[in-house]
Amino acid sequence: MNPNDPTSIEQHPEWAAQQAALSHAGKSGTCAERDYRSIYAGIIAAPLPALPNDFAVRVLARIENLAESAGPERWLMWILGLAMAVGSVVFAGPMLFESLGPLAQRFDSPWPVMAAAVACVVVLVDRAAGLRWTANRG
Amino acid sequence: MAGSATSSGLVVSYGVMETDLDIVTAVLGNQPGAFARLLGRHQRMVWHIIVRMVHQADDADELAQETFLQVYRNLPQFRFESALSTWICQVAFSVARRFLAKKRLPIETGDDEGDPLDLVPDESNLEEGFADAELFQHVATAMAGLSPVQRTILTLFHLDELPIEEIAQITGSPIGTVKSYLFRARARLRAELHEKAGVSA
Repeated sequence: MNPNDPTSIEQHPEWAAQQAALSHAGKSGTCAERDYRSIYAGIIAAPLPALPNDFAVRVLARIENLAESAGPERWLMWILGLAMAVGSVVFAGPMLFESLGPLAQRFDSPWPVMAAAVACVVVLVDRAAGLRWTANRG
Repeated sequence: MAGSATSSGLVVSYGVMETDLDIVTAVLGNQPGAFARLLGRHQRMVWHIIVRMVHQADDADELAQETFLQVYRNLPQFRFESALSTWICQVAFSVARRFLAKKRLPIETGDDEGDPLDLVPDESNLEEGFADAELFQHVATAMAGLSPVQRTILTLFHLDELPIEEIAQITGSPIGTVKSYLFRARARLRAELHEKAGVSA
């Protein structure tokens, strides 16, 4: 029997007993079916350590701390991201603008191409620095 | 907990139906109490996964907290390609799995004592061999001997009543592998209980 082959498993009589025990309640059926019915009841009744009562309170406190400590970090990333964006626009912008020159000729004004270049740079910096300016997060 | 989950992925919260999209949008919009609602809705299932995987309540507590911290950090990347509960359970499963791997504890193997199919009896009646309480106690003990993945899959299927397809998504395993885990784990439980019934008879 190939353990990863569902059809091979499904042909096994023990599987048939397991499935029958799932679908039929009561004390009827073969020995195997009745055994599995008892085992399923045992799995459901098996004791699990209880979720601590204050679990949610502790998680929410850690998340609040996380959000607070992330504040300065986020500001630093914003400043770095902004510096990268300005740097990219100042240094890479003219090159980009030049390479997009033929496209600019299709418009009356160079501003659409320049705006598109800036938008591309912002998106690239956002993705690279993981700032998520462009993500849907408040 | 302010609400109760339904099988359709909706939650009834103060009489209002809240979808996955509603709750994710609320958390991402930093609405007060939004993450508490998400936590209340999913903490039970996360706890079941972690506790079945690692088997130690202290470790489970820390890992369940870590799961929700990761959910909070990574929620902006959630793309609604699965139900939110499935995604959160995937995070819990991978947190527990990494923990076990780091401690070099076995994750998937538990069949050191041979093929359980060789050990299952042709004829037996566990109900006659044990009283209910005794039988349940033996099932719990036998479950402790299964691999973490087998224990978790059995619990998700029988206790949390998740379909095999969803368990496959959570564990990142093919459906056939999940079926195989279920099949062999149940057969092993039956073989072990039969052995115990023989000893106590």
